[in-house]
Amino acid sequence: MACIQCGRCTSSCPVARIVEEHNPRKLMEMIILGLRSDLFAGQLPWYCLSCFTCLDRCPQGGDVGEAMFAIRNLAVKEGNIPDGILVQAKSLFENGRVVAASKMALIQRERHGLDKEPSVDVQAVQKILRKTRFNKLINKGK
Amino acid sequence: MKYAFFVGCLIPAREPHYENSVQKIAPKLGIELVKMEGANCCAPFSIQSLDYTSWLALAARNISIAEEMGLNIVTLCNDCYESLLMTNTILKENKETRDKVNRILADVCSEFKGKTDVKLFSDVLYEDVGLEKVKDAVKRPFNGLRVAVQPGCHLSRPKRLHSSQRIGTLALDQLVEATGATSVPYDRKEACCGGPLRGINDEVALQVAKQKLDSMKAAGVDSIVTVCPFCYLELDMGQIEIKRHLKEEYNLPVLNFAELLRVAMGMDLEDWELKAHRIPITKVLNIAEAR
Repeated sequence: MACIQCGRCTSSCPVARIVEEHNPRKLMEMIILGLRSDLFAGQLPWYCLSCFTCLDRCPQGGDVGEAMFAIRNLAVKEGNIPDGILVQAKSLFENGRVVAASKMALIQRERHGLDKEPSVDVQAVQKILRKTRFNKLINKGK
Repeated sequence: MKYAFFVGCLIPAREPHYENSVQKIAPKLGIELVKMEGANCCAPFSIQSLDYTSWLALAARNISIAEEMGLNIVTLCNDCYESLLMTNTILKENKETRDKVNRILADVCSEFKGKTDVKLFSDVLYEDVGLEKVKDAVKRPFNGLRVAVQPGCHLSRPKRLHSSQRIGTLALDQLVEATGATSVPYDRKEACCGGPLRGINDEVALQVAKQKLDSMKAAGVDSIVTVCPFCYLELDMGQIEIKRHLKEEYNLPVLNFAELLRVAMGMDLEDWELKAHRIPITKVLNIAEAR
């Protein structure tokens, strides 16, 4: 762990300005100290915007932004998945897309001469997601 | 100039007007967009958050479709761009990860070979079409229009994914200025719009959007121009929600860059496209004048 606890990540973070609980430097500190249960609990893993400002500004060439993905992957394994992400995950498995088209959009596309929505090979998506056990993972969510 | 066209989920589902403007301007600038049959969701950061390997495999499958077509990918969405570009970079650089992903893809008769490049539509306009040709295509310049450019996070971050040629925000500023408008500097221009927290923490998402809107307003702009469909939603619809919940009103019209360029090129937006905008854009479009 190359983190020197300088706090540049926190001072760069648009969410840390608003939510006191979200502090990237402290998250890195928790990783260093091995405070697993605190790190994966509640809202804490889910404030990051993935804007990668911290990653670009880290003087150690560190990967605070990427560390967030690792934290989230582990939090998910413990069943901590926000509803909004669970909806996307289920849609991905069922439709091959995280956002399915509204009826309104489909009508507009047809009426205004845009191609039908591009086809998705849903079977291929499901084969991949079964192999990676993604479908089992999302069943751990509520 | 021919590209594998990765349209993503959000744009066809929620913003067909954005796609329509791209389809209108592309042929006039010599850009041919070829559909990617069977392509799946890019697998955005939400899926990366759930499971890193699933994310890589789904994104790699999309890239392999473009490889089969023998074309570079062009996408309209900053999030699709980030997902596909990051996957492309990781799998080109790391043989162990590439082999692992290819073992998964073998089940769906697909393979990542590392033979293609991923571009955002604005990269194509800037690097492949070229600024001069874009300027030549402008028939009704937006002289006097003061624009806050909203680049969106993944236009140029994380920077290690972007070659030195791709100068991100600066390229977008120059494209906006090619239409005759002025890109006005403002505080926190490179900051996130808040959109990624939609559906996870709406309250924080709105507060992040408000930070941006406050600073755009302070810079005295007439309009916001973006290339990202998430920034578009967050800043356009977000203004309605901020008015309701945070009692602040901005009335800043939000345009996608493709719409701005289309109008500057002399092609009007249709009624249904105007209506897709929550903050009315007509007063901005009226600034465009025939030379």
